[in-house]
Amino acid sequence: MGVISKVPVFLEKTPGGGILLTQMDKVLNWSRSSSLWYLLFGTACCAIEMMCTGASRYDFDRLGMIFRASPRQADLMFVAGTITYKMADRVKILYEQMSEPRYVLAMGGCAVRGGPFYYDSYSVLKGIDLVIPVDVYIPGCPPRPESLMEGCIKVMEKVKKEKLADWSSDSAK
Amino acid sequence: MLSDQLLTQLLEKFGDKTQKLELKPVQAAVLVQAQSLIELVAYIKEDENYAIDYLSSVSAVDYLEDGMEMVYHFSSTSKHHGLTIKVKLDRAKPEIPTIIEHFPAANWFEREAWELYGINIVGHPELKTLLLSENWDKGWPMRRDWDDEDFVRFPEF
Repeated sequence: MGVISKVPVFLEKTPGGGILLTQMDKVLNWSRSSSLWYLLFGTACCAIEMMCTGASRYDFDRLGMIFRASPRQADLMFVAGTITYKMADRVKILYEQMSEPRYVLAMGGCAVRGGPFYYDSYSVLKGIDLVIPVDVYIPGCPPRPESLMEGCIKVMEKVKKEKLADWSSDSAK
Repeated sequence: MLSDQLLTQLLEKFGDKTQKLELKPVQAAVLVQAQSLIELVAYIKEDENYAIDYLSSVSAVDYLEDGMEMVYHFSSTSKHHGLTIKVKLDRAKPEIPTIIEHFPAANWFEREAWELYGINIVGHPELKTLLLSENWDKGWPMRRDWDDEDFVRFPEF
């Protein structure tokens, strides 16, 4: 439904039809933000909430978001849950396997700053941003599906601000 | 729980290598010396009065100045009784023989005791980290005097 609602803004009426005058940035960013496929990956109870958001009641599909089981096909990674030091290495590998441009959303207290395991824990990483760059943080333990969706909308806003000229092989972020 | 009769028999058979522990009514428990552990485990597994065939858990406890302890929980699926075996260890040099030979289920439990408490499991085939990351080099985290720069203690109120 995105095309029908957004295209008339760019449409130039000419006799016998219309032409579309736009910028490459806008088209690419629009298509990317409207099909933000996320990596199906969760490590703790936040993953349950993420599944709930993906299911029919809250329905990620209406934002154009579909889960992908392979990092190669994913644009967005939810770090949903507690990350231990052992898991952190694996998360980093998953992140490196994603193709650019890639976005990371830290979901819940554990991914943001260790959450309830900040104190007295020898095994829990104190925030996923120590390992991979994070675009959007969502607090909560776990966050409600509404806040997860708002976080995704924030990611979309960020995608829409991307400039084609900024992309190069070594500075995608 | 092992009947009083069987427990007494066991204690008599192993004499001064073992000692009865008062954990009643929770569990029949025996304290055994580290060098007699294998012998005891083999005996309760083979003897048909005991018929111990199931190892539920192996864990370690750190009592600081009172040393360390390994705790084995056994039970029998045919006789419906259980037995706890404890072994006292020297905290400066904790060492205990593996019981994988008799109970293969002990493999991962013993690995865990090794990586978290630093208890050297003599004869274990693959003593490497199980729950901690592969490149863990910060010592034995479940020991009560363990500390690390990334480790944040809960503040006291």
